Amino acid sequence: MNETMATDSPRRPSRCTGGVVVRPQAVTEQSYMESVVTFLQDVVPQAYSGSPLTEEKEKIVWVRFENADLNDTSRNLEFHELHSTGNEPPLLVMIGYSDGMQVWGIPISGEAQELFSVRHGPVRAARILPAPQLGAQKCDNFAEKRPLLGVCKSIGSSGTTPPYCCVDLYSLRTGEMVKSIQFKTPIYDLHCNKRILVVVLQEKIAAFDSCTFTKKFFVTSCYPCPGPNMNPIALGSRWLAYAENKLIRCHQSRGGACGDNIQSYTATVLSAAKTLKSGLTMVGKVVTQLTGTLPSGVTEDDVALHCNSRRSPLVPGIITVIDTETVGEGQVLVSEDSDSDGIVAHFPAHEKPVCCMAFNTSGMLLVTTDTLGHDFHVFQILTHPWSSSQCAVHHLYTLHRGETEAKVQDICFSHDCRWVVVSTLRGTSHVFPINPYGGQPCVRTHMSPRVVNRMSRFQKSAGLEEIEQELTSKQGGRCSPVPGLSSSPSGSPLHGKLTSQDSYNNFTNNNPGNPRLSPLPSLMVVTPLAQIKQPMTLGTITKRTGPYLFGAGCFSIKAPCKVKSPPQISPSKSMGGEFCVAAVFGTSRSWFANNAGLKREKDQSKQVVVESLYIISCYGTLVEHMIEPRPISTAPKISDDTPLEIMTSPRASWTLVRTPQWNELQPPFNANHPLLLAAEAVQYYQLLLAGSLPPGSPGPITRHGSYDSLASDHSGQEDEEWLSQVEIVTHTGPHRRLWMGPQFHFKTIQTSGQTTVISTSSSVLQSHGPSDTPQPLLDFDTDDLDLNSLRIQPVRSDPVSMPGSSRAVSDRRGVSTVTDAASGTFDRSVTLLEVCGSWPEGFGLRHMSSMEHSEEGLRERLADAMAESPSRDVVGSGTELQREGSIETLSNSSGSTSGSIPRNFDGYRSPLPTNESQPLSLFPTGFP
Amino acid sequence: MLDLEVVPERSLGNEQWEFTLGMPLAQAVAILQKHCRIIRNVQVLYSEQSPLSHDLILNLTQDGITLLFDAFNQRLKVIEVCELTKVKLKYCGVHFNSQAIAPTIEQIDQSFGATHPGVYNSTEQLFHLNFRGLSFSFQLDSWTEAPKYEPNFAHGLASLQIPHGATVKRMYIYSGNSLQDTKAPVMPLSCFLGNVYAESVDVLRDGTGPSGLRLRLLAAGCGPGVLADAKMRVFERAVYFGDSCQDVLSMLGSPHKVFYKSEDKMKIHSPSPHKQVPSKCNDYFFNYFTLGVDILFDANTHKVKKFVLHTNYPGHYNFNIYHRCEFKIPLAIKKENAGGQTEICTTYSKWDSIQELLGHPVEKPVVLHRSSSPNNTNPFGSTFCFGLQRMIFEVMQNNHIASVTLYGPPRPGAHLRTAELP
Repeated sequence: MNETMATDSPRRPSRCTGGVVVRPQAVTEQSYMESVVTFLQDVVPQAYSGSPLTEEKEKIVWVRFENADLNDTSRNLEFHELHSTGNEPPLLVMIGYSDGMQVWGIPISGEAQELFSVRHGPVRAARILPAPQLGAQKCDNFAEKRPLLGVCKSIGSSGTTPPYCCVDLYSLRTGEMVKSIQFKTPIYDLHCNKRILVVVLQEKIAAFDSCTFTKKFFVTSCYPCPGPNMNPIALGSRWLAYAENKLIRCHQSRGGACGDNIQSYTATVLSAAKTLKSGLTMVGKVVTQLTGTLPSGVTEDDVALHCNSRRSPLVPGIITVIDTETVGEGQVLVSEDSDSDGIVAHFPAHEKPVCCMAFNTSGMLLVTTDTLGHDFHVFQILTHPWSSSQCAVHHLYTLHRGETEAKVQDICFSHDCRWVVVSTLRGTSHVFPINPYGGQPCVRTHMSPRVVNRMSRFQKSAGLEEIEQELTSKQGGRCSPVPGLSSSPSGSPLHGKLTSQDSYNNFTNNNPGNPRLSPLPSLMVVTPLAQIKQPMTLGTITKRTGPYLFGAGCFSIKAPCKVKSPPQISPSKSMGGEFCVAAVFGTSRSWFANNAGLKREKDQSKQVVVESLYIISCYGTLVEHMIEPRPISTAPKISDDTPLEIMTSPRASWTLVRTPQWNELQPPFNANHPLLLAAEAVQYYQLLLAGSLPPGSPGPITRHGSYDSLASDHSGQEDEEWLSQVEIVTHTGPHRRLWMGPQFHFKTIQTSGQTTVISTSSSVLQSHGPSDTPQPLLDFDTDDLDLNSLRIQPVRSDPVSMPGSSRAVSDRRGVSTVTDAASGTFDRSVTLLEVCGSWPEGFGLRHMSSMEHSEEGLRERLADAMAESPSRDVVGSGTELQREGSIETLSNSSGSTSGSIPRNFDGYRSPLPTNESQPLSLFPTGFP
Repeated sequence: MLDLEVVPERSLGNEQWEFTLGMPLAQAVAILQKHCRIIRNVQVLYSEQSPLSHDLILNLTQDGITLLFDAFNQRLKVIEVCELTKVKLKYCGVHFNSQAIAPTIEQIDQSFGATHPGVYNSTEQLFHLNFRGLSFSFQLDSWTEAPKYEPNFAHGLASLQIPHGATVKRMYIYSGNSLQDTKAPVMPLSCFLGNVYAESVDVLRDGTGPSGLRLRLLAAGCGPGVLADAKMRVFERAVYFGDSCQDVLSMLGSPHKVFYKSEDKMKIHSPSPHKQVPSKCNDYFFNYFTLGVDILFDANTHKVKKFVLHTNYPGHYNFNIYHRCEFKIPLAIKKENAGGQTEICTTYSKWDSIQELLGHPVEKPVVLHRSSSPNNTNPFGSTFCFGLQRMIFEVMQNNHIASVTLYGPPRPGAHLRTAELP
């Protein structure tokens, strides 16, 4: 197989665009299964040996993965509903050379296609601008020119300006320059989304409307960074995060960084966690979490330092997140006098200047790094709709890279936000596992192909969340009864009065629901599970580490960070010493490279837990790495909480670097150029959304049909379609619902004035019932509720029950759990009835009979527990048959139309085995 | 025994917690749950057939306290102490009811001062002594000469006639001047706790169906430093299908919880994990419990896909999870004579009346059992889901709407794909 690939030239001209097509090279000849077993490959990858070494290559200055219309899954109609069929968006790679730049598209087929290539002098930054979002007042001035390429070149369009001081917007359709924006100072970077184009300058940021390219707002208070990114920002779909040069208390959000300067990672994280010197609001809270381990002197130091820092003009490490839609026009000024309009969050993130930052794909998390590069911080931003001071910023993770200094140049997230890859200027990409909601990454969270909820079924049913909350609130509560502990932070004028601290604790006590006020989550320190280095950086290592390394190929070192890492090669300055790399996650494209002749479906049947990681280096080689998480091999027993380790292996590579012999590839392009098609599709979609498309106007591509036909199609399909849209479980339910008791008993008031016992037990209380109810409360079990069989059983040591109660609670509820080891854990209801105390005479008979019934039921149930069946019906054998049908129905998932029709809706309720969340059976009835 | 401070027209509570008039039901429940070791045997009384006809009642049977919540807005309307022997009460820090101090008419007089003469209600045989926001009832059935206390007696100064030693039977705390006309007050600032509540939620619609939500939000600052100048803010925000996470977070704030939809639940039982059909879909919900709204995001695009509005009727499986969402949904009515007419469906509309408005029955429903979560069954019976104009109404057996799911227009690409197939 590899032979054929080697003989086959990997490069050929493209029929479609006229550009070059590069086919992937298999990096390893080992089969997939073998590579799982062997830890490291000892094969020299084809990519390096195979490519002609004599060929001269152009020098690469920067590399980047781009998000544009071409791979916009939400707006590009090409990708709608097509995920299942394997039509994945292509990767878009941009390469900046010492002369000019190049754009590559790598579709799922794996054949990299050159889309654009120019040699017009050095380029500092370039972006393919996405088609803008349209609105009632917004219409696109450049609609016919799109797609547009924004470029910052050394020689601006006018030619007279200083180098890199001008953004030129070129039409990729016509090739003409449509707009040029001049600046007085050099431009560092360009960012864009469908709303704005952001130009990053020295200590300044300027934002331009995406439709008109007129100035929208600008920021002049950025904290400078020594590089490589001189003014780091992060642009999400709506928010813009930047490093602010001061901390303004009245806008400061709760929380922010804690745990900098962690000395010992073996010691508990909390004992070393220290709140940030540059300022924080919730000192009291943090300290109380740490009471016992933290000397109070530290806090005083913090306060003192804090006062100093307040006087000094520039404070490093502060992050401001602004809402680009509501921030308004003109200068964005975060100051004491300004109102908080448009400020989403404002918080200290590091002690050192911020060096790089990025939002995750959903935009809820922000990862920041400082100039030291030892630790990266993952923040969850919990916004409040009108005030940044009400916003909370939770420091979820500290990603610990190491103790040496490194500059971060790139951060990327997997699409499900369970993996973060941080690449440094040394060319190393560090792979960290995280959860979007925090907490220890473990087998449960990272070994399943889908994101799991925060609480496992076990945690939920054990009520661990409540216990956790109770513990933290108690810790917080310690603040008030023991003044000594809280006095140092709270007594300081900076942190408000003790009373406010008190009331704050009360808030958190009585209000577990508000995420912004809930106790800060405990900080996790995560070390990288893999460090993927670039082969060139290793050229000299190879000898020293001998057997563990192979040739010149890309390889990965599993990095238990505590262990001495392989000797670090300090990159020699003469060589440049700095390696630009960029990383992105995507669906595997190596398949074709390794299995040219086979059908793809076979491979797809194997579910991939983690997407492939693509890394492009400064040598123009794009490598796909397979990432396979597995339980740590040293673990004696694998459980849900077992920590992870990962296997990474290079799978395929593409040599994308340009040689001087290649021709340029410049617009005007053919009409079927992928970038042009994508821009048309997205523009069309935006017009549809804005409703400004004249009826009957043809779409950009005939096969898309017109809006009219869509509308008519839709009305015809609506009737059947809604079934699949039924949402049954929308939240993680509490461990016990209110009506399950035992504290609460539900009773219904009948129109006649009678009261029916709905849930539970204590019917005896009726006779002592509240005398205020107009009519005496009568107790009767409604037949349709079938209470006795529902009642679940007998925990005598009910922790809630109070011994003093003289009124006999005759019939308590509790839960007895039987775990069926074969089929996973499913709670089983076992009915027992406990009769104690005194029954009112009238009730005796009925309850006796129900007891009899339940004893019988218990036997039956125990018998069933022995059986293979994962679950059983509490209601009775009569429903047993129906259960079969219901399983079928469920396996059809999310309310598809097939399935059995229960004979009796009301009488039938069977507990079905389900995983995780609240389950339910769904019974569509009578549908075709 | 609970030792509680009475604040007329406002609250009943102690240092750790208080039941404040206007407090949402879920918060009162949260307080009770927090103190489940002290406060036990709480009854929840409601009308199953017509949940709006009766107040929703929390009856603290062991403590002699009854909390009446407005059936519509589910906020605390009246705090009633019905058995004074089970609780200690104080006013301005001084006990007027405890084991040692009987709540006699003299004691009330001493603690609360003078007020209008009492009013005798002969049907109840109770004598009511009213203060602003506070009433005491004295039971007179132990006196044989009841007629003597007619209000007209002695120029209406009937209070003079309350025999010495009469003790308080019940006490009420409420808003305003009259217990009969009292309404649940607006939510007090102390109940916001930094949360955002929705006064109303309007469903926006275009030609084909719902397009988004317009929410009128209430928020009040809280936390250290903010307390002093806390004031309630009212503002309108809108969210639409296709909005990004950051759009929604900017508009509504962060959700209380994020819930990842789990995969088909039965697959876990297959012997080999490799049997699982790949599904990249892991859509997630933002749960806004205090708004009564869920927002579903698409896993791939992180854009809004669905909205779910919850009515929190008692007698539903999810009762007390969500705050009630006061929604208004315009429904397109297609009648022969009237063109594009719309009718409004609200949180309080009943499904049979909506069907009447539509003029035609809606096709057969999907039945939801919600029966089989761990260790419980659903004692409330099934609910029925009806699909209508890109909305799914979950209807309870009493014809009230339990939840409404709104979903966006089908993706344009989908039809074309299917149409293209040979």
